[in-house]
Amino acid sequence: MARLDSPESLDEAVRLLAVPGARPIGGGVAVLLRERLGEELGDRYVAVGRVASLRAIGVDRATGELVIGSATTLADVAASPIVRARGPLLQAAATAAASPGIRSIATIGGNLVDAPGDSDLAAALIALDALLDIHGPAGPRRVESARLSAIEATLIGLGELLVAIRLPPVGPSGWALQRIQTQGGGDRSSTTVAVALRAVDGRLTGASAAATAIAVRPIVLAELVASLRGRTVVELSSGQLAEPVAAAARAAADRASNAGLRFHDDVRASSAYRRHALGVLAARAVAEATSRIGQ
Amino acid sequence: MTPRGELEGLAATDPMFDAADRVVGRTRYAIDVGVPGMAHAALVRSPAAAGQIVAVDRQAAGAMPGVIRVVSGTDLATAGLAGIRFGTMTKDQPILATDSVRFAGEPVAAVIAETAAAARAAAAAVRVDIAEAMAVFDADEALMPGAPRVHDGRSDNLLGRWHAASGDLAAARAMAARHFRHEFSSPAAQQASLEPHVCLARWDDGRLEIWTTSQNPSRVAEELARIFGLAPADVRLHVPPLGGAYGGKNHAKHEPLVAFLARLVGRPVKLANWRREEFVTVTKHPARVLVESGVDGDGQLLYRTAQVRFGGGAYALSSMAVARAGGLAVLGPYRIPAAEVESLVAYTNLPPAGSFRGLGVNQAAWAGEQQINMIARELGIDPVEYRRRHLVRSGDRLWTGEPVADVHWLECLEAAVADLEAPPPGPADSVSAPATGAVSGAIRRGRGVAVVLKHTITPSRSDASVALLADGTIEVRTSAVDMGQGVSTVLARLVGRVLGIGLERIRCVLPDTAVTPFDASSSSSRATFVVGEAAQRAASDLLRRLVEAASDVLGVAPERLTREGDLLTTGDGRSIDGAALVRVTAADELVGLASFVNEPSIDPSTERPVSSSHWHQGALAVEVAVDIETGVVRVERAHGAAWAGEVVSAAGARLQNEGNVVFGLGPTLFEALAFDEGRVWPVNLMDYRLPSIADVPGVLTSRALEAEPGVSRERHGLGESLIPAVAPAVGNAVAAAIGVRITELPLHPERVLNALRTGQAVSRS
Repeated sequence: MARLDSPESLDEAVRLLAVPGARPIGGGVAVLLRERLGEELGDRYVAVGRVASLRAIGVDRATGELVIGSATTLADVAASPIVRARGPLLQAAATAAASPGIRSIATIGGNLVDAPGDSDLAAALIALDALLDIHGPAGPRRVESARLSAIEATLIGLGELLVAIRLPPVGPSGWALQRIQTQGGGDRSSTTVAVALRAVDGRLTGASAAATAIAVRPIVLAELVASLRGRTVVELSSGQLAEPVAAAARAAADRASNAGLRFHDDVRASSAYRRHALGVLAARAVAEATSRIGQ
Repeated sequence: MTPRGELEGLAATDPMFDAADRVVGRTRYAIDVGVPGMAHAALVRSPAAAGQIVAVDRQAAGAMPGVIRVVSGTDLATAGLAGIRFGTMTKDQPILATDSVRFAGEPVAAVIAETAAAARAAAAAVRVDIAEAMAVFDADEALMPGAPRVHDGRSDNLLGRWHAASGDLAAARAMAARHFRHEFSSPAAQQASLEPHVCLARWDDGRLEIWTTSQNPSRVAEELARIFGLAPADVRLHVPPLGGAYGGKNHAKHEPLVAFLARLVGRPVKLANWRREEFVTVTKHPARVLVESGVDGDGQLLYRTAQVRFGGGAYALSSMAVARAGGLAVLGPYRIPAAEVESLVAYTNLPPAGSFRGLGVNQAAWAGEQQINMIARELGIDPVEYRRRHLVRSGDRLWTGEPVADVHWLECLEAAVADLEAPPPGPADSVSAPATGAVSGAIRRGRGVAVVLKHTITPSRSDASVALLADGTIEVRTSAVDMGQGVSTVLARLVGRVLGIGLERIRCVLPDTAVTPFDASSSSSRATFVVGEAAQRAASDLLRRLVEAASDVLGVAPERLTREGDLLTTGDGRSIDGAALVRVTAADELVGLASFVNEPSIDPSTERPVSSSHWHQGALAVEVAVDIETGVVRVERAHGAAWAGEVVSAAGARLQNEGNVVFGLGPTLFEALAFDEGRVWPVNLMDYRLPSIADVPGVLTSRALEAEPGVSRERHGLGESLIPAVAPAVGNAVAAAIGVRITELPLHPERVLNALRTGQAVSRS
């Protein structure tokens, strides 16, 4: 039988996680799923849901960032008025990510750490330029959420705990989340694209975009972002950029593939279909995000 | 969608007996049943699709904690049961594989342990050595000369053949101005009831008592008595409420094995499938259907023929019935002067295929009903109008040559089409709309219809008893199984109607072969009609006995009593009610008994019985939205009409009709099983997805059509009257939307996208 600890303070959680073999549990969704699929379980788990600070959503007064504790459930993220106001893209991702039953127990931290490549929230957070607070035996560190896309290593190491997600004080001017389900409306995504655009006076000043559910890691759509540089909202609204945007998104996927990223090729869709869908959804996401600018 | 208030109103006036218990989790399913001293079993399954068992190494597993015994085919041989084969229609299934294995997943050993977890852990430690042999997975390949034989003792892999022909086919072919020939296919699928197969058996003094998830308690009890050499009265079989079945729980599955295990260890033994085991316990038949049609210069059908090939898997289950059902249905309910159908089902080295809601008609209608649209399109005739011209009316002959009476396909079609053509009810935003303007340019909409012709088991018998207890309760005793379809609600209402007694006094007991009489099966959408008739006749019989008893007690001739419910009153005002009669007569209860068989009528021209005592009839009209950039198909509107004859429960009828549509969307859009060297995948509900509330069409309506009062109002079950129409109606709508015909199910986005690219249907590789 696996041992399960349920610490009530962050310090205690970090200490328990320092024990070799210990792994954190948020809502336990992934662990239960693995058990049901017949996989071997670990022998030591640390349930972090009782640490109050990990379930909090609030604003960091010093920086103005929105801080979401990693043990916050997807349902709480989706229902939070402050998330709705400050990070509607994240709210959209939390709402889309799972069925209501799962959302009520799955945590944002668990969702990001367990399988970031399949996480709708990871795409949203990368597009929002979110930061991740991580605590471990060596103390706290803060990393860009885009690092979730690192192919060679997991972002959060053994003994470490994702503590909080930080959204920048100022959100994007326009945003969009596009996803595709190939096996019905209750299915997980087979390709997700999140886009955030910043614009001043009708001209783009910045953009971020990421794709998930197509490979084992999120893909930062750097080529797509580059293709938008210096564009005006009028240009973006014209629809003329749909093809270049789609091509740029696919180029990002090809770059990741060439770097060794393993693409999903499974019951939901072939990798070729996902690559195709990525382009379609990227173009739609840019158009949808553009339509929100100025609203 | 239904406004909330309307649903609440229905629940109040037309309650489903077990709905509240099911929703809040009060229902006790088979998996919740336990008896003292119970041990648990887990199965060891063959990793190979075909071969000979060389050795089963039980040593490591036998030494594991909590393990009581590891059982293999040699134990069967010792017990003299190795030669036993079971199966309702074809006795071909061993209790446990003893020498040959015929599909990956076939049980070759069982571990009995103190806990289910210990049994599963030990089962994983049993080493099975199999000398693999050539296997065959495809029905067409299995039927070729020289194909590896799935069953050694048979000369070939032909599991069943059904054939029918009528008219002068050669002359019709010669006369036809145009000919059409198309092939369609559909893959295996899984019934995927949320409740898995569960069985618990115990022996007491040579008598077997068993609790099982079965759609046919009477037949399974008979089978167990035969296998173990018991008198029928020495097998007592209970069926708790089922958490869905959809055909998957038809026919014996694990019952013989679990009974054997319990006898072997002298303790009660329980076996519950894990989800992944469901996928190797029973599946839907994959099928390939070739349809040919010919029309005259005016477009009138002159002939239709079909070749239907079903993959049956390694054991028969209901394969013969599937071949027949699909064969009967494939050409549709049309006037066809000359026709011929050959429907074959082949043994393959795959998990056994069995009944699946719609029983072979799904695969058949996917072909026949799409081809009707293809013909109409080629002829430039509206497909609805083309169907109107050809649908059989009462008094016509079906393609088999047999006469049909009391048929209403035309009314079903007109109702479904009228509902689709009407503006959507409710606010316009109830129609699902694409999320953003960015998508709308990629959406193509199309409409499609399909009709359903489905037989019911003919003849089949149901017995019923209706008892009046001393506390005034009316107890309806049948072996009809409530699996969520609402049969107990239907029976209670029918009995209440005869007796003039309110539902609050009526209860239906669960199937228990010691208490409830024979019933052929809860399948084929037969219970409302056949069990319902038996129950109503039993209620009439109870009334007769009540009146007799009252006549004796009150000293008044029966015809001079007036009756209100079970209250009987004499001309001079003396009265007695049923409960008092039971007490006065010093009996435990007063019981009415009846039996009903849906005998087929006789075709006077051939003096042979017709194929089905009545025909299930339905029509479905849908509108789909196809995203041509992603291939995603969304069914936005669906309007069904099924012939009910007489509606017993309006809410129940609607739940069945709408459930048909939602259930049917799964195999239409995404449900499919694949096999890798015979090993099935996916095997979990994370990857094998079922339709959810998110897939329900934004506008979904249904009608259960009734005969006018005063004429024959033979009741029809509604369990399957629309399901077979879902795939072809959606296929027809998709073809209308994108101009490309897809002949292979499911309409997965990738397949649709490939079809759009190539302009023709392409296999998903």
